[in-house]
Amino acid sequence: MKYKFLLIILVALLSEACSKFLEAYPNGDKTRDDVFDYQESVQGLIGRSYDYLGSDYSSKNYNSNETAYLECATDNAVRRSTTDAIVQFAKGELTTGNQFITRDYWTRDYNAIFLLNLFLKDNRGINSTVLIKPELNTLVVRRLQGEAFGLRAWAERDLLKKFGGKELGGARLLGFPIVTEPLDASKDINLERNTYDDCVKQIIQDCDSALKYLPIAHRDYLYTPAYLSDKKEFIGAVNWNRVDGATMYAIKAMTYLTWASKRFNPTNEPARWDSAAKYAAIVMTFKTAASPKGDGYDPNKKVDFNDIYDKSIVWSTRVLENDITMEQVFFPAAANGNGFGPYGDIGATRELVDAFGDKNGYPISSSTVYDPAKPFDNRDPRFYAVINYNGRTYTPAYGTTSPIYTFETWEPDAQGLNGGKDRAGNGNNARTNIYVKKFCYGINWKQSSFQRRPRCRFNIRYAHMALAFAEAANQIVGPNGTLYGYSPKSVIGTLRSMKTYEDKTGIPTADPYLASVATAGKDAFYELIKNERRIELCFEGERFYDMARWTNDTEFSSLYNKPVHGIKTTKNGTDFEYDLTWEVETRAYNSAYMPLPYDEILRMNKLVQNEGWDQWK
Amino acid sequence: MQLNKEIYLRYGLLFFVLLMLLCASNLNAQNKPEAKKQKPTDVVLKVTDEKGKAITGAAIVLGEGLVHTQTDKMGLVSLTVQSDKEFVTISSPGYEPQVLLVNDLITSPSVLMVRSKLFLTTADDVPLPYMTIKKRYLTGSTSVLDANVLEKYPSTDIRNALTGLVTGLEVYERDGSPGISVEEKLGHYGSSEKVGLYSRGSSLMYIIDDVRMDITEMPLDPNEIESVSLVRDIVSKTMYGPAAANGIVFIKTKRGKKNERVLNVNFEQGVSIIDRMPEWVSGADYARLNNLAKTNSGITTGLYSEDDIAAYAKNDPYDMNHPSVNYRDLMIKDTRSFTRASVSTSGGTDAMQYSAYIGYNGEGDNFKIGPKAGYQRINARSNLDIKINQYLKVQLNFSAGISLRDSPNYGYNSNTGEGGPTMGLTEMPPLLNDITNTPPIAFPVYVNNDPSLKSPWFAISSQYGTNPVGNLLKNGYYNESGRSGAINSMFEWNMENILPGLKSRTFIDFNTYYLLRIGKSENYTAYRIDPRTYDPALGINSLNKAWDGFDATGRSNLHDFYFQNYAAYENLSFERKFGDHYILGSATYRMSSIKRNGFEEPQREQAGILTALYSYKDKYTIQGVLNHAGTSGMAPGNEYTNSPSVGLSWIVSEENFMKKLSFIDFLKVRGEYGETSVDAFRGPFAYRDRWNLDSWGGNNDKYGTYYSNTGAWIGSYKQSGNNYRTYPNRIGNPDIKLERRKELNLGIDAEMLKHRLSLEFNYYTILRSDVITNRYNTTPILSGTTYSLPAVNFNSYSYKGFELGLKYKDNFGDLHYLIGGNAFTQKPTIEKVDEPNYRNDYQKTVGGPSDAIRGLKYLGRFATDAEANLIPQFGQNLHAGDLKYEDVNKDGVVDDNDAQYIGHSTPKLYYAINLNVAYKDFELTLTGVGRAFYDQMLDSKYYTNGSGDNIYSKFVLDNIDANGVGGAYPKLTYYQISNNFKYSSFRLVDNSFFKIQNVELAWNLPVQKFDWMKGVRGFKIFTRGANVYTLSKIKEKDVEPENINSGITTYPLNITLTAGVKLTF
Repeated sequence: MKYKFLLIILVALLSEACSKFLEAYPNGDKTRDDVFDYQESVQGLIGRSYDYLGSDYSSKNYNSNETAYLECATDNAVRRSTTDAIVQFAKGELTTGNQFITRDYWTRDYNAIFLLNLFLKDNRGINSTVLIKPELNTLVVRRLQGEAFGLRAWAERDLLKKFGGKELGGARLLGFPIVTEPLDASKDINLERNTYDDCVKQIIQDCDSALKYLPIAHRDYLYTPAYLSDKKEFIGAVNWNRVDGATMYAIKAMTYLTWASKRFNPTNEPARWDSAAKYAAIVMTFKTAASPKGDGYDPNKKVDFNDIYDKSIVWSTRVLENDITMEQVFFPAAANGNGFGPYGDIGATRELVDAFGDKNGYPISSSTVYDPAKPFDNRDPRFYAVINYNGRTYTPAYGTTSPIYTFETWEPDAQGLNGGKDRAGNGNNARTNIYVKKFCYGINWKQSSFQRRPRCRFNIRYAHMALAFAEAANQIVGPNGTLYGYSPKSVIGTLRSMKTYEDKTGIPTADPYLASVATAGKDAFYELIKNERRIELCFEGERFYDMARWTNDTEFSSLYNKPVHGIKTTKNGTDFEYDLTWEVETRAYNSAYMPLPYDEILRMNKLVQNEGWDQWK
Repeated sequence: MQLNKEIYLRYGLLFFVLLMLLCASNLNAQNKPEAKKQKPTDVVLKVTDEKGKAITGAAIVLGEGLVHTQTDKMGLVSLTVQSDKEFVTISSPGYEPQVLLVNDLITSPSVLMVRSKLFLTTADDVPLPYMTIKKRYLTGSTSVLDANVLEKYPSTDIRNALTGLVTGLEVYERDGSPGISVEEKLGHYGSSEKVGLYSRGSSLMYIIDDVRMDITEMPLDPNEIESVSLVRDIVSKTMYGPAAANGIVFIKTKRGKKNERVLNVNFEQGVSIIDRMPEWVSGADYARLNNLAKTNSGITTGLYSEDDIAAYAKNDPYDMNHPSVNYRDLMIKDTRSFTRASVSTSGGTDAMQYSAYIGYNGEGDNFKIGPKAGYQRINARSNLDIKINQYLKVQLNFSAGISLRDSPNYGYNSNTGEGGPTMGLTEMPPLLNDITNTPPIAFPVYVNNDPSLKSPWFAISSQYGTNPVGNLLKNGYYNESGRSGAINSMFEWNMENILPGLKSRTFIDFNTYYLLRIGKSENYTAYRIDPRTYDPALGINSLNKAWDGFDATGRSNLHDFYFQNYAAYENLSFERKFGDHYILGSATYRMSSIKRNGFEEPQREQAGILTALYSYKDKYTIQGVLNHAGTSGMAPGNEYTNSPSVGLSWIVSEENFMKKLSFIDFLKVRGEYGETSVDAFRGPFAYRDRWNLDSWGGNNDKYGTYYSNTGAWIGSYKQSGNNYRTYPNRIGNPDIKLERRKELNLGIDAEMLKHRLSLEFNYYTILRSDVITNRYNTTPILSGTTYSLPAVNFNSYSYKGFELGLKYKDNFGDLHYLIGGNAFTQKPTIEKVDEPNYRNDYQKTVGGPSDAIRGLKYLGRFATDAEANLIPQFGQNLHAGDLKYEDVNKDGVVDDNDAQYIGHSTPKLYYAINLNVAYKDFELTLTGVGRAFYDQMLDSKYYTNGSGDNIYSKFVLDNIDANGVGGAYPKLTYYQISNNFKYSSFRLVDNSFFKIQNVELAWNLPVQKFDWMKGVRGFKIFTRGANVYTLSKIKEKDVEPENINSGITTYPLNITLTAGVKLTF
């Protein structure tokens, strides 16, 4: 009896203990639903999307050196590493096993879209409570809602820019698979690409949705001070670096511009050009509008890439303190100091050098002052703000006046000695002997090292809009006509004569070459715009997509499937000889389109590859 | 350092004193009876069966195996015994073995053996989870290894000792580091399991005295172990539960026995010698190869002149302009010491049995210079069995251990001169990495080694920013101590007054481990030097200092690790025989919880297990197990799974129709089938989402205006608050459940030729299904959750194979011999797997072997440049002599899509040979192990180095001609032609190899003959070897076939040679 009694108690105790034994300990894991219960995590959905989409300079997502690297897939630049994927892409050697950078774009864009879709689904984001006071809460959640649409538009535009193209084995122009719902990864997913036109519509629709919620810009002085006095914690300049209404117009302008271009506009519909011009003009007008606070942008002033509040900015990333990224990418190995290792990763091509005209604004082919024996003399003032070349010296901004750094790219003598320190092949130096100066701040006066700066990337700036307008309006009203308040000729004229990035005077305003081309008509002026665009936007990641959209397949291959050159330098005493015919790489693009990530193609059999990527289907 | 030595000295002394005390006390105790009986006694035994018939060939063992002999045709045997307290074990197949005291034998020298069925004696107990089953009733193939053989393998790691001894067990030694690291299995700091034990395609788990525990968490010495069972058939595995689905190495520690009284003292010392270690070229060869590579790539500048090469050939590691450093010679020694000593005793009376053990293991390390290095371990264990009364027995078991590792603290945060120490479980891998990267002529060892300097200034170069010698000498040191303690106790309650045959056992175990690494993390002064441009006239002041030295003032905690474990079970068992019916049943409830640092929650499991075994006439047996087990970390509702299994066995040899086949003594056929879950203890909570929220408050991270003044046109100075970021860390899958597996095992056990030949044969087929994966290859990236994919039950694999074990033993007069061998095959197949939707059939892996090596098929070399450019290969401009691959899909391009099945990575045959020969006092034991029919991709750094200014291996030197064009090495160029280094059959070789894994030659001194050896019952002198000789199909003699990265990324394996004595009192 005693045993039985004991046994019953034991069993009862045990079964109680056992049933609880495996239970999870309390922990703070958030589920997808919990995200909406915390105001930080609701805001965090948007915050994380900025990181994916290029607003976070420091995390190296989409940072400016990445767009500079992309330039190595064009005739503007050459990558130092000969085995890098970008080089293989340009040489037509990219194999499926190589995870090309486009895969990163694909991943980041869709990662952001997932979070934004989660925010937007069932209006859960806008209906969540972020602040206690209802009117302030409304301010914030409406802004978040606008950002969600706006960032989705940016991601979609990025996908369309990178992957939009003609299908392999067909004639359709395709974009990307449009995703507007958060997908469930534990289910089978198999989507197809939407048509290019549908993608454009989706982007425009998202921009329009965003515009319903976003102010035209995040600035204090667009609002009355009285209104701000108690609300500037939540609106106004405190949201600088977030997308705004002007950004949405800019995205629309850029999207229409690409859609209107030859490659994506087979029926040449003028309405697309018109829309591009219209939205670009809206942004230009807004940016330049004078106000008592002095916040209007003067298009004649220099663009300062080291000013995080440069007035030409339409939308920029957040600030990275003490930045040195671009100097590390562009400067030669010998500029090393204080342990900053410059990679000398990107060298400009002679082709880019040639794209700059002479100091009077004439192209070098019709110049009277350009001398091929002295290719760096008498050039377009903008040339000096973008390129570092043999013999270029740096003088400290203050302190001593003797030069502290001189670029030396000459070849060694017969014994292999006394070569210039910055010559190609000598350690981490550019392969072309031509270095890039754009974006860089300069060299510290103390020693030959770089000055670190707080810096942001200008995702969209005034010049993007000016060039988009000029290109679009030229198609409709010609160089001298006026549309939406601007004429293409005057817009381009301003770009040519504005102060350079070095704050030097640009091409003289009496610009006879510009006038002659404008007179020659729309087509000649289009060629000029293309060259201006190449010069102004170099190393901003536009060139490859411009090359593609301006051409058809035959033109693309005849224009770009050829060698690019560097400048070989020989030293004779104190003089230099420049060999401008020195080939450094031969380009043989598979196609004018980028490939969709191969592993994604293998994941979804409905996904069609772009033309020219037969191995990647 | 001084402190260090003191600690060692103290431990050493303490141990010595203990040893002496133990010996002395025992000798004293021994001396008293010895005083009465000085001379050895001769005893003549007569062994008969119950009917008085003499038993021929019965094995007689005196003491713990001091004397082996057998009865003659008359059933007689004569023994010379020294002590009347000695015991004799008498056994013969078909009889119950007997252990008798000599004292009793002197008074009545005739032994009556009780007939017993084969494999049904007390010696045939097979320890299994929560139950012991007689070998005869087993329906599976559990092999029990008598632990006495384990001590023959000189290693501090018991896992090595199992090599080749058990049918179906594959032991894979990856790494020859001294000692054992508790974190290796967890893969901390890039480590991997040092010695892996596999059976039937799975890595085995360990159970030590009924507690699940990894062997690294309780390192055992051979003399602590009673038996090792390899549990791998489904019925026995489900007797534990889902955690054991991969099979168990089931270890029981030694317990005392009635009538036995043993005291053993072992001492063994020897040396471990690096077996195979890939070599790298000297300075002069480096310069020549570098010239050749440059020339082949069309580079004409920067070549080394003949004068340079002559200067390098002096091999002066200190020359400022022409250094040539042989880091291996400078830093690594090929030998290290090995010491093992132990004292163990066991015995007991009816009321109490005891077993106690103290052991020491010591190994040196392979660092030639720098702080003291080595591994030492002391284990202590005592197991007590106490009979309280006729109903209650208590077991009390204590064990404790301390392991010490002294080491230099190699490397200092990638040697940027910043931050703390670079962590490693051992310091050799980062050292090897550095010396297999740094060219011998990159820089001299020092830039300034003036004796007046407290620490020399070390050299580095801008390309090679770390000085291996400096890293070893001047980055500090540490002493790591791991302490373990375990206590467990069991109450065994005989409940026969309630129901005859009923027994209850209650068990509880606590054990803990704590590891602490205390030391210094320091750095040396380094200067960048380019020896080629260094001008001695300018002196070292012209050099660029890379970083300053740094001395730590005090010792600090560099690393720690702990685990805590408790386990408990309650077992009710019932065993009874009614006539021809034998019934064995048990019901068990168990629970365990393991807490390790770095793990979110303790791993908890609990299970209820019902086992029933029924045997009719001891001939037909059926066993069934039902296991209902739960594990922590699964969604409520999916925590519990059922694992049912059933086994059948039939002793065919006892059927009448078999009686004619007189050469068969015993034949059993058996089969088992069952289903179980697999609890692999993945991270918990795969069933639920985890969303992360980050927030940083740095200026980099905020929106708004950054500077009040410059931001004026936008608005007044105002920064946003912290920027938040929300993202999924894990997407939950509420349906996630444990992996399942179905197993069918069939087998035969046989004894033939009057028990001389025994045979075991097994066939198994295993189907794993619902294997958990993240479906990375089929979930599109555009889901937006690539980095947080849900875990899903998806993959499926099958394994099939045969295992064969044979043993033949016989004797010619005084020559006793045993030849054994075992072999097994395996065929792993992918049934279903998360794989990309490949366009070509040959790329698909489903239906193919899961050990497939996929790569390009090498067709030969291009004969001409024209041929090289017919079909683009990886888009490269290739030339004659470059490697040509097959364009499998005939799309006119060779790329990664042309990778196909080219080989397989697991041996199709694994075999072992065991030999034991005893002649009079001498005994030779030998174990050889081989693997055959499998491939190895020679893709280690040793084979694929040689581009740019990087180091060259001896392989490169040996495999190219004067023009740099080679055979096994494709072509020496400065810019690597990546086409020639693709994963392809060019580098695939047959990796069959055979090793003589273990040898022991022993001489058992005939102590009886020496009067002065009073009190000594046995004296064995032996010499042993481990990993003695390797025969490999890999051509390069310095490459270890068992792990081609040995000596490159891991410690090289060693040959260990020892000699020692074993004394029995």
